[in-house]
Amino acid sequence: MRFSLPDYNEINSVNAYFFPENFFCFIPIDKKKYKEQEDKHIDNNNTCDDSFHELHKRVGNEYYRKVYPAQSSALSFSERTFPSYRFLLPEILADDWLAIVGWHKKHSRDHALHQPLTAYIVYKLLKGGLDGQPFQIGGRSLLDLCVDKIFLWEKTDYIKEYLLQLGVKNNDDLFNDIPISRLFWKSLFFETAMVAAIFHDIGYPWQYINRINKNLNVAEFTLNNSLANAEHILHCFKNRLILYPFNGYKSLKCNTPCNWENSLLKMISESLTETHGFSGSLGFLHLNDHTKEFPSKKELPFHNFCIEWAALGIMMHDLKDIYHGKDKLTLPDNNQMRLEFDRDPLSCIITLADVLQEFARPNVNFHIHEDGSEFTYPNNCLSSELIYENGNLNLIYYYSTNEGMINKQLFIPKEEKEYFDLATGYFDFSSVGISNIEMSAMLGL
Amino acid sequence: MDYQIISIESRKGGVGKTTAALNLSRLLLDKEYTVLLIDLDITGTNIIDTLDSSYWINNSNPIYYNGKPANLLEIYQNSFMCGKELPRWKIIDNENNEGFSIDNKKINIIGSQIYKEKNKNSKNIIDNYNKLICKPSILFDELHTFWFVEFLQNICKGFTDIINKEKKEKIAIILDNSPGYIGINPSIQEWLTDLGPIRGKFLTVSSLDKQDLISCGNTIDELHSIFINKFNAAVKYFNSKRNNKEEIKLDKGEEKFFLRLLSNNKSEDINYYNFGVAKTDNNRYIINPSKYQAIIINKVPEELKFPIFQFNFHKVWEKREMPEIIEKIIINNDIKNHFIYYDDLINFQFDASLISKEKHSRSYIQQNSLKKYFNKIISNKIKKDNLKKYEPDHIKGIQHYQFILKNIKVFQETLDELLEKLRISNFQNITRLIDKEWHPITPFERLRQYFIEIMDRSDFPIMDFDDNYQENDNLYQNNYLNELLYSIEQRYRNEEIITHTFNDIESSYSNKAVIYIILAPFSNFSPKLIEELSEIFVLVLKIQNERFEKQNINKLEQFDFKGFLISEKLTVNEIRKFDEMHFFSRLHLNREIRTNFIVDFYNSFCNAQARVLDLEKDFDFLINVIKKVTLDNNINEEEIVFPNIRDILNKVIIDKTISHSIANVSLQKGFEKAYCMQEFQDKLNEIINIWEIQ
Repeated sequence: MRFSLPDYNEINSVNAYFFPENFFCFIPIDKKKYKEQEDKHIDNNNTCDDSFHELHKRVGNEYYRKVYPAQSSALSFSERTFPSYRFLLPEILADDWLAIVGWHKKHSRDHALHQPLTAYIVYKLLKGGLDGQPFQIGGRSLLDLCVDKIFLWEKTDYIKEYLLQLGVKNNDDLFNDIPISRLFWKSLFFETAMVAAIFHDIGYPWQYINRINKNLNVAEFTLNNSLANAEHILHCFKNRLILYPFNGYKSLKCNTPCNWENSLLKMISESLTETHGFSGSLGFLHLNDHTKEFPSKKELPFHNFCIEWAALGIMMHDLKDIYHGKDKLTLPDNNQMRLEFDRDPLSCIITLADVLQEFARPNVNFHIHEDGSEFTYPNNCLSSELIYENGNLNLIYYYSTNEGMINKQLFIPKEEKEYFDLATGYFDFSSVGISNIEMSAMLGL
Repeated sequence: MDYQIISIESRKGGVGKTTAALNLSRLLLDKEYTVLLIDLDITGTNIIDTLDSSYWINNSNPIYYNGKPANLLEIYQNSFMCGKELPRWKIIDNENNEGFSIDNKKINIIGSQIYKEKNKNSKNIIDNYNKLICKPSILFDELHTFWFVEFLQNICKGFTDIINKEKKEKIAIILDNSPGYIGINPSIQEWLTDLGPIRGKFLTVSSLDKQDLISCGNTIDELHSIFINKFNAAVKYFNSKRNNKEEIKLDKGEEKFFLRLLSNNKSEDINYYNFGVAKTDNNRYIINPSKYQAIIINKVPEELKFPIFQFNFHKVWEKREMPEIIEKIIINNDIKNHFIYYDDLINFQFDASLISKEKHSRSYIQQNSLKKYFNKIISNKIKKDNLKKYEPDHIKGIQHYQFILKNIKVFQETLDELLEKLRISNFQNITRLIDKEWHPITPFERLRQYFIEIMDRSDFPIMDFDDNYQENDNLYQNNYLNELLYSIEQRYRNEEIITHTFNDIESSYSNKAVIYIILAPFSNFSPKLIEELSEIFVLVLKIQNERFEKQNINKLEQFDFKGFLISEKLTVNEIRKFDEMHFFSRLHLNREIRTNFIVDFYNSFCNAQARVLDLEKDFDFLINVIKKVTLDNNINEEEIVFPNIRDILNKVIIDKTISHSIANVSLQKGFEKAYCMQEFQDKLNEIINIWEIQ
């Protein structure tokens, strides 16, 4: 299955690529709180219109024409799933430009275009492109495989437990693998995956702040103590789904060791500074919580679950560094957080799509000459491909230039080791019969 | 309790959505529905501001909030979105202005407007310029439209609950939407299709413009698809519940509703699908979408009403540009059954290429020049020569008044004869209205009643008088009446009432003419009664003169004299002042009743004065109107009761605010509108019959 910007545009142009809307709205919203946010947003003169305009001035027509429609559709989708996103978007766009032109490796990222394209990959993997053929492993569609694993209720038992806490009845037919509930779960899974994909990188600005704070902490200047933050986060979110992976996809129960909280705080503290996934999921949850009507008679458990589940996906797509710890060559520090397909298929799909999404990402090129300097935003990667064959999964990246291809090839061994190593890699697809995952970069379209 | 929510839709602005909404409201009001009309065209004109005819004003109850007409958007933005409680509904009473007051006998209307109310006190132009309650870009995002519909649902629920408490079972809520398919329209459609076709109905208003028609056709098709998808999804949902091992195959568009039933099937809004699908007869809405959808094609050129012209609707069909569903909702397979003939703005509302003369002549372009054929009046049965022209400048003295009476007699005989014929021909509506409101003699009859009352209540013996004065030729030589006029004139001078502020000839003529006309039937006045009557008349003239004096002369000149007489009503408080001056003590009238009596008498006298100045023209005008209503083949007597015609007649004959010449011009337009209103009523009536709204 091949993924590229022209393909995305083509799917978009025939209106086949659409955001799902079955579970609108996810949470009942307290309109008063939302309006307060909205009024503040307007008063601050920090509107999306202005931000798009400023971005346009800085990146020029070519890149802007890619970003604008992608983010417009994301904005439209957010109205149903993450209403506060519009108040965040100006920061995302501002950060995006800084990130593109940044020379610092750690700041070099983009997400205004990357996020919608990741969502497109998720869409195509689960629903198929114009031909309507979704990605298949061993003759079974990826979406069905995801739901298969959920219905086993073994490693996914935490999902059931969480749903029961949210108010779903234990005897609900939807826990049984019958046609009606399979249809339901496929839709729920797809919709949540799309939400997680389109907002998966919103944590970057927070990660940046947290990293600065951490540096200041090291210099014994406590502007914002990350451990204190971690304690506050643990206090506020201890019952939420996003903390389950830290405990091996379990809730805290009476069998939890008394000293576990210290380990948990350490992991949370590190996650705040080392990952953007954790910050992103916190931001996503907190902004949703902030506008949520509570208590509310209108709350629907499955709809509510979508938020929590999407937050899990946002977090897990970038928890690789916490899983491995500082030394990536030794055994992982936190093996309980490994992304196993039969345990957390949603996060697996988001992470895979994130890894695959390399095409159309801009790099800035500066040219200095006597009259000043010029810059352009070329993109080297043209497309990526995912192939499954006899237990092997291949991720192929196609580049337009040798330079781009070679640069990617330099990173592939490290990425393969960190993501796909059978014994210690962040991914574990073995439960669907994938024994080997390889990445490669080549010239091509 | 049951209720209907009817959404009026259009794709293009100015096609008559609000007119359709008002007419539909009126029709349902006549069928004893309690009606709420909600203006959702928030970027258009506020419906409250468009009720410019007395008919709609009298028959509508604009909902007030905080002492001014409620603006739906303001309440949404400042109350609903701020988490405040919405105003409560209540049945109208005079004691309490809190909340929304419902009048069961009128169309309850909530207006809306996106612009803030202008600050009248502010001198800063910017304060009043471009002040939006809410930016449309925000209001029309999906989330806000979702909330806006939630807000509307709350408003409607409050309304239906309170009517339910009153044990009234017939409730209709009409939504006058904004044109196009943006903003809240999709959410409204979602809501009403959720309610199902028994409660949620759609009336689409189109023009003859081909693009508009096709677009409206697509709307109707889309609405039907939404409904069918929901219906099929519900059927599949219940089937899968019964047999949970059977594979489910959902068509595109069904999944969303299927999942809604699965995750949230307790919502009251979708009860129709929960309980309704089991009823086999619900299939009729799928087979026959005309049971809940309809189309009105408005502003159709009048020429199409006549057999020599045809509108080739099938040309649109032939190319398959029009969805097939249109055929299913057309009454008796003839699109003309949905036409409203009225050619206002027609030049840009229809596609001329689709209209031709029979046998496909291409001469349609000359439509305007052909109009004269169809505006021809069949015959004028009223011989105008019979009506002797009154020329006041050439006739002096008492003969002058006698001549007036003779002319009035001719007019009245003609009019009465006409009215009698109308009664026989079942034109009761017109005759009732003419007798009650517009008959030029009506105010004189009323004044005459006052005199009978005076004579009843005064100490003087009742004189003999002949009620049937028209047959008594000697009447015009009534010396007592001349004596009375002389006496009033004398008293008038003694009181030194000299008027400078208005036309003496007109006032003098009107005063005397009124007195002569109203008292002509009476004979044998005793000298004492003449004295008493002259006291009353002089009192009235004195009050009138004082009121003229009070007016700023420049200001008064701006008013038509007749209009001034009508509009300057006397109140009880004002008359008390005269009472305190012991002015009434000279009257023998019972003191207890005289205050109110004098007020009524004064106001009626002023009306009669204004009327007498125009008697001949009023008769002429009224006969002209009747002629149009009764003799023209294409006009129905019902049309005269329509607001615009009533309004013109009121303004000309009763209010005296429009001259006859202006009225004659606007009357033509008025009739065109009236046919249009009548057609609206007829066609809407047929539609709601098909919709099974009883």
